[in-house]
Amino acid sequence: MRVDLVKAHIAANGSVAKDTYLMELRLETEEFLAAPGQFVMLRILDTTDPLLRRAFSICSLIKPNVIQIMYRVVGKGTRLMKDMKEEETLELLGPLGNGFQGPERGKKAVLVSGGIGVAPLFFLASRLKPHDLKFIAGYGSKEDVVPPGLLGLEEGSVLFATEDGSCGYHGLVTELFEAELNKTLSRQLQVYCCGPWEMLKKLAHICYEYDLDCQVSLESAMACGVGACQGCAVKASASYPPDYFHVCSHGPVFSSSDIDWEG
Amino acid sequence: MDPRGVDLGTALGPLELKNPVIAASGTFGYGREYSSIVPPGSLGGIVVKGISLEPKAGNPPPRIVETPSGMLNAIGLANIGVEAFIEEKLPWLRSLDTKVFVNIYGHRLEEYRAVASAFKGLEGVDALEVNISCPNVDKGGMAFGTDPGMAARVTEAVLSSTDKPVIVKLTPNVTDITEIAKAVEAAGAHGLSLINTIAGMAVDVETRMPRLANVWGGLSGPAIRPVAVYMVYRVVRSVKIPVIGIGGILEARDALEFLISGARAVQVGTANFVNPKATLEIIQGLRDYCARKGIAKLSQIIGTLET
Ligand SMILES: Cc1cc2nc3c(=O)[nH]c(=O)nc-3n(C[C@H](O)[C@H](O)[C@H](O)COP(=O)(O)OP(=O)(O)OC[C@H]3O[C@@H](n4cnc5c(N)ncnc54)[C@H](O)[C@@H]3O)c2cc1C
Ligand SMILES: Cc1cc2nc3c(=O)[nH]c(=O)nc-3n(C[C@H](O)[C@H](O)[C@H](O)COP(=O)(O)O)c2cc1C
Ligand code: FES
Repeated sequence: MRVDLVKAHIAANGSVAKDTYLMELRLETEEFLAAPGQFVMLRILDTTDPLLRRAFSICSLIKPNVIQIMYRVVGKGTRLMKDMKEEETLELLGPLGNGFQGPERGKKAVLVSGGIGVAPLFFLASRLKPHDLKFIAGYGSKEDVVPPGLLGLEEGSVLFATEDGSCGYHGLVTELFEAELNKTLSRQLQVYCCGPWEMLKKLAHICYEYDLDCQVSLESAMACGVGACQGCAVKASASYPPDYFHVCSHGPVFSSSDIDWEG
Repeated sequence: MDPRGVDLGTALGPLELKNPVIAASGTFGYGREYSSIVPPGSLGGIVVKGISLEPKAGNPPPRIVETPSGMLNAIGLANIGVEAFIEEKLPWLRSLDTKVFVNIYGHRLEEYRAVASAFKGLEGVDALEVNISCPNVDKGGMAFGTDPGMAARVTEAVLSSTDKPVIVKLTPNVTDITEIAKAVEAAGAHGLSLINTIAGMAVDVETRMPRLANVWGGLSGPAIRPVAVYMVYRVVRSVKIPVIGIGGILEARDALEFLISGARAVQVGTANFVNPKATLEIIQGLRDYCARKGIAKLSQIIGTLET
């Protein structure tokens, strides 16, 4: 895999939901060969604090050299990012990691996100035909909801679940997912998900019970993003003594059955 | 003066390096990971991830955490083991036009001996770098590198098992690093590299849990640079063998601090994560510095600290 360092000019950077921002980056390269599920690492400032690059999934590729990332403000780096202005530049490392696979012919894709985990699934959805997919997005509350229209998806094409019931289904996205599964008779499904660990663990379990193939996109603290530091370990299933995958180079997308969800 | 005309060559005992910039162990994988960004042939050398006799899975996650101007890591010396390294990684490394240093470690003297002898006569390995920061299981887990006698014994064990130049990598987690340096020199080492990471820890006050699953880890990055420069300064003045300076180097000016203090070469670690082109920029920056100062050979500034 070819990894590159490219200069990224901020073309737009604005709020799309509570604490959630969409940044459009014009890259100094002719073509950025990125697939859904891959990510980039951004160096936010030239200073030593924050020091390490920050990882973000590619949320959309709107031109061969223009990408969008969607980020939640959670700490030092993302706080700096939200105040960055158009035409400021960042240095980007990517595209990194392995993206989502499939779906196989004849299988319908079911996309399930929790919170900001929606970012890579937007990119995946943009590459699938609308009638071949079902997109279920979970959020805490209505104000967290990212309108799908912003990413070029039809409004109404995404089912919502909110924990406080302020938008769509009242409850966890995993419950809505299971309810939807029980409504459809077809088991010709390929599940894709991204979100908090506990949610992914639950989905992995449901998919195991329903005998569905499930791909998860994982997060882990990272230093290099290219497989050089072994920092981003996640425990492999059925491994004793323990064995680890590296989220950046073996993932970030894994088959849910390859992961030890208790690890 | 034309920067391109500057001679950056440096010597580490028997090893001639085209320039003094080496990628540090554990931060550059097995050399290949960054090769689309950093042509390996442009570096003075590459030190590969620490290799042990048996493959090692490493510590549970989280293994890394960012700290002010630095990072803590507790990778747990995860590596593929000496056999897989020789079979899968060495053939590619052998093709490179740069010096390849194999970093080795063990938890018993016997293990150091066994890993070292696995490289005997093998082409493509220019030197061994011996990590002595590991716990000695026969001595209740006390790190080899914290006791002059034990450090000397590891050095002797490796020297007697190899035909390669041996560089011993010192830990800063000691009372007096010059005592260890002298013991390792007396045992016959060809060179020293320092510093390895400084022991450190960070706590998540919300959960009251350590931020690393291993509880503590090793601090690296710009935060440790002043400590590293000081240790290099002191060690250079207490031994005659060449010293490689390591710790928090991000750019040419940082590398120069070590070189002026007396290091014959430097290693760049954490900076690779921050700026994968760091090594290349440092090499260029050294040329520019020499040209600006009218110095034809970088070796002319090594150890020129004015005190
Ligand atoms: C493959 C991958 C894809 C990601 N995609 C997105 C995305 O599309 N949108 C988004 O908002 N976030 C995404 N994240 C999480 C994002 O990297 C973190 O939220 C971000 O690094 C936080 O930085 P900070 O400085 O604001 O937070 P701080 O808490 O100040 O960061 C401190 C350190 O912890 C690390 N860190 C903190 N939170 C996380 C986390 N959740 N995962 C990994 N490292 C973390 C930071 O990188 C930094 O080194 C992704 C993470 C990974 C590994
Ligand atoms: C993620 C990581 C892994 C490391 N692994 C090793 C190792 O396997 N063997 C070793 O001798 N040093 C290892 N080191 C230490 C570095 O080689 C170097 O001595 C240290 O990080 C200080 O340099 P820096 O500040 O430039 O990173 C590691 C450092 C980091 C950050
Ligand atoms: S982040 Fe360095 S190996 Fe994955």
